[in-house]
Amino acid sequence: MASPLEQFEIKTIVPIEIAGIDISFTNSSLMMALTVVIGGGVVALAASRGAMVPGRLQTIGEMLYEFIAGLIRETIGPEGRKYFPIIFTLFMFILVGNMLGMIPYSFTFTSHIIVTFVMAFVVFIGVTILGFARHGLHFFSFFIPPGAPVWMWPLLIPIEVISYLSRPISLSVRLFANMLAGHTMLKVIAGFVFALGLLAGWLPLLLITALTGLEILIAFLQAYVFAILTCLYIKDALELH
Amino acid sequence: MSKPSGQEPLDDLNRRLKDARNRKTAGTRGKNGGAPRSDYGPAIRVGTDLVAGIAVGVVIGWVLDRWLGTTPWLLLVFFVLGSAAGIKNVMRTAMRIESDAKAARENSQDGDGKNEAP
Repeated sequence: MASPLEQFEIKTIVPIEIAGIDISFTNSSLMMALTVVIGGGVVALAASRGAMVPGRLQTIGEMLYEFIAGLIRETIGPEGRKYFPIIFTLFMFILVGNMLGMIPYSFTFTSHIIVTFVMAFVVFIGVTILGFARHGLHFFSFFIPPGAPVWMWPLLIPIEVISYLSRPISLSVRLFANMLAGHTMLKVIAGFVFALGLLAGWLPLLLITALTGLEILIAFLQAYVFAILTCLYIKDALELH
Repeated sequence: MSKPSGQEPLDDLNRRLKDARNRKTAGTRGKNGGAPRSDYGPAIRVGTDLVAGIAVGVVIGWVLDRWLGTTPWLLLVFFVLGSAAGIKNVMRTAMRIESDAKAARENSQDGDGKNEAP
């Protein structure tokens, strides 16, 4: 029986090596490229017509736009409009990547910690730069809890700094762990179908059908959570507390 | 003479556009703003928040210990600080989940419970 972890293996498609660094085109890169083409293509096609009465594709595009625009309006406020492109891009990349990963025999690149960590790290660095650009050195007051007595500061400031540094970790681990756990679980239960055969195999088959639905929900939910947390971090950087 | 009659609908349109724009920036909770909810999501969110705080604390303590040769004291100190940061993360997240749920409840009461979570 195939290992349930085999699906996460990186396979080289086109080996490329520059100055001793392996930058081969792998199945992961292929899925990312596909995600960009499909995600970008859907939005571009949806926006190209601009009909008064939207067709199917345009309705999907408008729903996606409205969803993220509403999210930004609620969490950041009217000031957040500027950050629509980055949040929408992150959301679409994760959403389409997760959904493509749900297709049998494909590859889920969001189940690799390095991919999710790089995205979270970009958000973290960007938000920190934004905070300094907006408030200058006053940004450091973000690490002082409001209303705390001065003698508590030596204890509270390290806690706040660690809490701030833990943001990219929790942001990336959350997405990665969800995708890894979900896809492993699906494969393990799929293995039971064959192991139990005709006699009792239909039971895990039913379960796997239900779980696939749940996984599709999680694929969407995790893209949403990533987007909303990015919004919250931007809001923190803009408003400090 | 035809100018004012041509201008009036435009003025009306302008006014309605302005109204719509104000509505958009007022920060009201639209029907597209609510998240699909499940109990599994918040559990993982809170869990990763806690673990991330502890992990960052431990890594900082371990690196500082190796650098300053103070093994294992800074690791212990930063483990405690990291745990505190983790718990702080959890409290922040839990309070946000709670306020979101509260807002959703009020929202569903306004709309005759139409968009109540299953």
